[in-house]
Amino acid sequence: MIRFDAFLVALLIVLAAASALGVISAQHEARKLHDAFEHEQGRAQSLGVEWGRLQLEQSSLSDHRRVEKIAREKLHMAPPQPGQVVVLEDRP
Amino acid sequence: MIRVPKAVTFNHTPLLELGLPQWRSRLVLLVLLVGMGSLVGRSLYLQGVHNDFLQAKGESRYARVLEVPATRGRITDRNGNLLAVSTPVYSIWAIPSDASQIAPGQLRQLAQLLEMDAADLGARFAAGRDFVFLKRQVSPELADKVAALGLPGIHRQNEFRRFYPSGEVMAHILGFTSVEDRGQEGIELTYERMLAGQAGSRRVVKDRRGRVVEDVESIRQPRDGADVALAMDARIQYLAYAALREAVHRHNAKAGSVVVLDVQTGEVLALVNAPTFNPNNRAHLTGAQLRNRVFTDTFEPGSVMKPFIAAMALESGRFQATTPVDTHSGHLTIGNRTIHDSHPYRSLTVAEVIQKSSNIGTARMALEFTPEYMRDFYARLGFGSPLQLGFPGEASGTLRPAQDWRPIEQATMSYGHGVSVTLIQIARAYLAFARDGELLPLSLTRVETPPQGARVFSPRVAREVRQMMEMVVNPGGTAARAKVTGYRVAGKTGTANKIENGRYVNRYMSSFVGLAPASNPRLVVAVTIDEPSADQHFGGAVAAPVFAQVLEGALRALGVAPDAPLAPLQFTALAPAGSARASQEGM
Repeated sequence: MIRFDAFLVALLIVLAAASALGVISAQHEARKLHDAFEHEQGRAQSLGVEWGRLQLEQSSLSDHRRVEKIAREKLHMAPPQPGQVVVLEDRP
Repeated sequence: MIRVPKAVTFNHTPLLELGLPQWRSRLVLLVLLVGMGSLVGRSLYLQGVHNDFLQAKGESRYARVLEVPATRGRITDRNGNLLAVSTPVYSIWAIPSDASQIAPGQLRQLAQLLEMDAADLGARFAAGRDFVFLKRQVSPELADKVAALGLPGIHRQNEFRRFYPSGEVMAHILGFTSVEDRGQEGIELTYERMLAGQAGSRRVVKDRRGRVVEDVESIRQPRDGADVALAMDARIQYLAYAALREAVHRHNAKAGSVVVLDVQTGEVLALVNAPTFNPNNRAHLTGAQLRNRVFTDTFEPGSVMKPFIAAMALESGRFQATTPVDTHSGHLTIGNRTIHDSHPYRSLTVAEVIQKSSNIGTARMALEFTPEYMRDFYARLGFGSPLQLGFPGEASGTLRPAQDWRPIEQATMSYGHGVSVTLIQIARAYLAFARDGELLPLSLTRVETPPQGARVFSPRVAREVRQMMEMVVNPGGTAARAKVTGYRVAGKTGTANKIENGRYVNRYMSSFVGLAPASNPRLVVAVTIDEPSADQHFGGAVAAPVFAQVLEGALRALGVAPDAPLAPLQFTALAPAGSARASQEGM
């Protein structure tokens, strides 16, 4: 009887210790994951910033003043003269 | 009664045999118990009852409050083109007492990076303040380089900088923000509450290496500013900008403005002023160039008011388009003053009064009505009261109470002298012609469902006045140069003497306001050129070409179907005017 009791106590002690270790490792794992999450969030934010900068770049590249300048000077384009415009009508 | 032992050994000392009084051991025990009790009590008190202080001390070892920045909303045009956007930048600042330990060589490196003078930097550190900005709004790359130097007392701080890719083209409508990214002018100020973001903060647990390992709580959720989609069309805005800039330059004018309105929705598609400014360059954000003249400057509109008098006359039923009006061969004396026509006629029909822009004809029509009636008509068209678009500094113009209108004043007011308006008011009032007699509230932001209009006069009157205004543009009218190939255009010129110190002077405000296509109007375009001082000053010569240029490009950009015959023969007939304009085109 006494031997059984002692066995039970020893078992419970071992289980408690295992559980405590489990908590520690789970906590550690959670922190590692959280750190990774924070890292990815930071990356998402900096990608967002880069996206904004690219949008800015796009809109300054497509700025009408620039487009007109290139169209006129590099591509030698000109607005169509009245006779050059053909209007297509949608006849039912 | 002491027993003497046989031998004295170290563990058998006679002293140990001495019996001590009982109370001494009890006292020691009591003292020890009290000591332990007070320790237990204290620890209970600290752990259980009064634990805030230690808790806070402990937390400060690992918990941090992080700022979560929020970005300001973006401004786009109606098609989603980016007009204003905030991107993160850094400000470099220093704690002078720490920074004064920087070695001269490193200071020079820092000065080089910041493009500042090393001596100047040194002076700032010596200034004896606790905090000093070295340079605001530097790029993240530069801030990283500064951080890589690892200098003591040099810190950086997150900030946002507003960029305006369209630069001076959109400057007046957008306005700009302060260094702190708060709206100061234009849309940036009007929609500040929508655009402004609210930074949040959160409490986290950090480990020894500064990594965030746990989210404790969110103290305040960050809220990014909302985006604002303007009614503006960037293409039309650019057309208007290019045409206006060219005209102001060619006519050596002081200033100029263009407004383009969408007839169906009352949206402001384009709004340009000259001179303008570049909102990306903070150094020049002062002076008259910042004025959004379309909203803030009132002027005497002159002849562009005449179509309203024609509409008033027709609406009453007392006049028809063909009713003859006595124009007194160019001179009409009212009281002790005489009004003139630059081209005298004996008599004109109502339609011809508009076509030839006769002051006398318009005055004769206006004098058939009481001042109250005429004032009420003007007021219903929106003159004399601000549009309340929420735009900063919007002027209301002046429309005096009818009780003190003398007949001569009523006469001059009929052709736009003695009243003052803003260009946006005039443009809006012309919506009534374009929308068959209905006025709409205007909008600077994109409108999904057009608002309810208010009727000012009947559709029949609106169409008849439109026809008269078409004659203005046709041969025999005052503005043949307002013609646009492929479209029927209706409009009215205005050339008003400016007032200085209460007297009319020989400087002019030239204007043209019109709409197209006349058969089913889509756009209202209003142009003013302030003090053209090259060879010409008439609205038909100065403002009308700008009008035509903007309108032609805008109608094409919007894909509006032409409503005038496009047969090549027609162009041959119009060759002089058509080719002259084509060669001036900016687009």
